[in-house]
Amino acid sequence: MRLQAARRRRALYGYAAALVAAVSYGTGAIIAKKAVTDMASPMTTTAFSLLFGMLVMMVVLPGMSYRDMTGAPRRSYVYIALAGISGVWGVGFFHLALIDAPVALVTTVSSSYPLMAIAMIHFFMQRLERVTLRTALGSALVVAGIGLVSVGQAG
Amino acid sequence: MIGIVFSLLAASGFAATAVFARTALQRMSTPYGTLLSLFVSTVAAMIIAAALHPGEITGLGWAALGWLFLVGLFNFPLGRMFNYTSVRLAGVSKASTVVATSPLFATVLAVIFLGEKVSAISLVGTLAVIGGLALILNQE
Repeated sequence: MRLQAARRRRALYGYAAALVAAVSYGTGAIIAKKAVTDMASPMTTTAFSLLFGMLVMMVVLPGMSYRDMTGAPRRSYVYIALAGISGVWGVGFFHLALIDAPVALVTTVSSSYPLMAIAMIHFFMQRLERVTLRTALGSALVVAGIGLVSVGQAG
Repeated sequence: MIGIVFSLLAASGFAATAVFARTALQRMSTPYGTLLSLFVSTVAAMIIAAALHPGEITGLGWAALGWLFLVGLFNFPLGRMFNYTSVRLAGVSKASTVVATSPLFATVLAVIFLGEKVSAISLVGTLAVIGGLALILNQE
């Protein structure tokens, strides 16, 4: 019972963090729109915003986190490097897509990534977490909703 | 057509990021993991940007750098770190779905601060997003 309550609380903190991330990305997208329209090319915007983000992280990161440098196994370093590279892959193709397609279409198609993540987890990493039918349906509904919002605002 | 292919490739990158981060953060603190992933992303993005726009990188003015600082602040120490935190605590499938609602927040902000109008289709889409989130969040 206590374990279940602790799991529930952990998940709630996770959802709260996800909402903060969504609001931050949403705000960042508004500012980035101004930056790529009037200031710099999309790739330069990506590169410099990453650089500034990294510098801010280095300043605010608690000293405790630096002690983790010796504690984490080598596999974690490989996976976090792959996360960084796939992040640039995602942003880079997102910007390339914007050159050839309307923003609404690009936003809609690229917002389907939770469904791809669910498929990756289901087919390759079932040991990592269990995907329920309810989660998959909820995710599909959210992706469809984001598509409608994007199309509605474009029109 | 090529735009759709690029958008799908972008989605595959975002999905892979979440899955790789989930795997890495099992044995690594989230702030440190975020910093390491930012380091790798920055190096890769700088190399690509230098190859594509060599003149632009050295010619940015202070105003442009200020805007790029703000983009970085919201997207990375805030966006990416909380994204990784959520993936670690709630799992990839649920966290990435909630994070994917960011275009909805961008729309809300655009309505509030840029005076954009909300269409009926967008309202239907918003209800679908809320319904989808309710399905995910209301389960044991």
